[in-house]
Amino acid sequence: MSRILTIAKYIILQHLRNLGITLGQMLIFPIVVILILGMALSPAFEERELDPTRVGYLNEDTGVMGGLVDDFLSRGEIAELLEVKAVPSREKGLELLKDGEISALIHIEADYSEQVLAGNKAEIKLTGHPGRQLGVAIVETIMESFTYGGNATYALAAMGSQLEYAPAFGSIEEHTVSASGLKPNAMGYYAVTMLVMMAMYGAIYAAYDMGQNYMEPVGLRVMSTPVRPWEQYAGTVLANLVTVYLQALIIIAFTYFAFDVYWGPNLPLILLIVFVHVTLAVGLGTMAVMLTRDIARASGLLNILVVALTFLAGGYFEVNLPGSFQWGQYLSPNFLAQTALFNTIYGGPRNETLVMLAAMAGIILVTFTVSMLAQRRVVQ
Amino acid sequence: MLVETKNLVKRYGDVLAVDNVNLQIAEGEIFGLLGPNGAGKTTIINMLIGLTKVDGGEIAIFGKKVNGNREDVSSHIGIVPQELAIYNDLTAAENLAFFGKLYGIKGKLLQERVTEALEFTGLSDKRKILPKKFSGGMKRRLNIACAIVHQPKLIIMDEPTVGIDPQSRNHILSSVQELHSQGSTIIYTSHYMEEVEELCTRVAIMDEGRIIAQGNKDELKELVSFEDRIVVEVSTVNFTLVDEIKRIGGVTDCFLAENILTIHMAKNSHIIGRVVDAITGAGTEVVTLSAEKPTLESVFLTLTGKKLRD
Repeated sequence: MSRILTIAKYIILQHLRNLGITLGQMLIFPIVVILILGMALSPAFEERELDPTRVGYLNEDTGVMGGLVDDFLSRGEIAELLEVKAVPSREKGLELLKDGEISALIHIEADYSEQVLAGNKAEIKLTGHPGRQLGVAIVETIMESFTYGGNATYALAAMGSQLEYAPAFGSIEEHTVSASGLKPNAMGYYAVTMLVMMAMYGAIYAAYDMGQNYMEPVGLRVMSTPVRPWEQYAGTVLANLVTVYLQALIIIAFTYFAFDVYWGPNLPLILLIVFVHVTLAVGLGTMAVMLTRDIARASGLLNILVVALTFLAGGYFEVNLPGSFQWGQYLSPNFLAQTALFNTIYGGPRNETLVMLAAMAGIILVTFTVSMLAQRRVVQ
Repeated sequence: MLVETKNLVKRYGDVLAVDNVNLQIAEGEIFGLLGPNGAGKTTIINMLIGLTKVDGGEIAIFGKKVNGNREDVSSHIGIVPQELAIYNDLTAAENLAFFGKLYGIKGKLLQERVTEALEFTGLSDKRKILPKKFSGGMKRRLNIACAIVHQPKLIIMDEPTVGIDPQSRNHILSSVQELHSQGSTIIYTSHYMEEVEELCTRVAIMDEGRIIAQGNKDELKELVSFEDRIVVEVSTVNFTLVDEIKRIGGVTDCFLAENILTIHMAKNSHIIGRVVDAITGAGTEVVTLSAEKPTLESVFLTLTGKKLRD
């Protein structure tokens, strides 16, 4: 263990002395890019005012509750959010939904009032378009606010009050789609993508250090000491992980304090994702140099690869691949890391984050396995 | 024997890089491995220290087989590689501390050993300087310091003077002699015949992966000492003089280049006086006269038909 730490310590010392790379390429460059792109592209990331969501409306209930729904949907505040289009039948409504003419269909069945007044379970049927999640969510929220109001009115009626839709105003809870909470601004977007890109450049560190171990005289001299091959390997990997991870932490801290970038509510998970990504980058660099057996060739290859992977992942600007090619983005480890980070910061699906982490772990396993097999061929 | 190899073999594809090499190196020797580039010297060194797999034969160092005891054996060996093997972004002292720690030296002892190694190689005043600011000779000296920081019993130097200035070369050669006087056993590979001849107590001459001769310097020279040679500088050129000298009994060959006569004669023929008489009799004078003895270069030339630096 002490030999591993010795090797790691002296490699890190060399990293620190190499200011051009350590400070310039790995810290100043990504921070400057975050600043420039974050400021220049800020308008493109601002939340636009929402247009009213087009919704189909079929009310077959001629009773009192059906009338209340009509009244509710015709109120001015609702009209700002929903453009209600009456449809003659459910079939016609579903057709419009399928064609994308409307985002959701609200269907009040004929016995709705009867069921409500009888105290039975009564439902307003809402059918949403799968590709319009935001619009569907708005309609769903509005209709939920109606049913909560309706339930309260029914409770009051049951206690002998006049049947009237009770909360005439303010019955719709305001759900603001805030930029800071659900969607990144430009600075937040580039803080993540440039962090991921910088960590990926860590692959070049690994290629150089691992190449020096096995292809340069000084590494061969280390091999001639009592150090075991796995200790030399582990020490080098450890040094690269520490250096690149510390650089990543500096970028997170700097963007948080200097650019006011929002890193979400779950910092431990953010740090774990970044660590996994850094490990992946180190594995990739190690594999590249072991397969090419040439530090310069591996570094050149990785330089091109990092730019390509960043581009594919939308690191510089959003990339919209045609539908059948969208899977291509998953080929970029940057995309996996970015997706996991954005989900964690802006409240995306946790399952997807776990899948991304699992995929990254798989790539790590492959890169280190390949590099270790290749390393055995290097020493002949 | 401190180092012993038996029928050592290494192949790279169809190329037999090391061909049944048998070496015996005793404690306290400076053992020279002499041969042209590509003779297999570095391959043998790499096999000794476990960097290159052995395809056949056995190696024992300090009485232990290297295979299976690499860690134990390597902890008592210092290697000076042919190419510079130092970190340019670590200071001289940090380079030494790094390698010292890998050999298990710690704390105050490590600091002492670092200081000693720097003093030994004349780099004490450069301890905090990065090697990238060193001259080529200073880098070579640091390359040696890294090999001796743990005070090994066996030091292997693979062409340590390649590409350096005469002053640094002399420093390194005297360092080797000093290490030897301190009791270290040294394996010294070179294609510089003069260095091996000056330093080594025993020499193995290699060519195309094979040991073609092995012994001390006198033993090796004896292999080719079947004739003597004298070189005479004469005052005036006289072409009939060459034929005159060739007619002297015992002279096997004679040729003239400008005013230098080179005369080959049968070993112990004692005819120098007759040669001088022939020169003066031809109306010219002897300016200088020297008797040339066989060198390792001439041994190599005789045994292989090639020059060492071919």
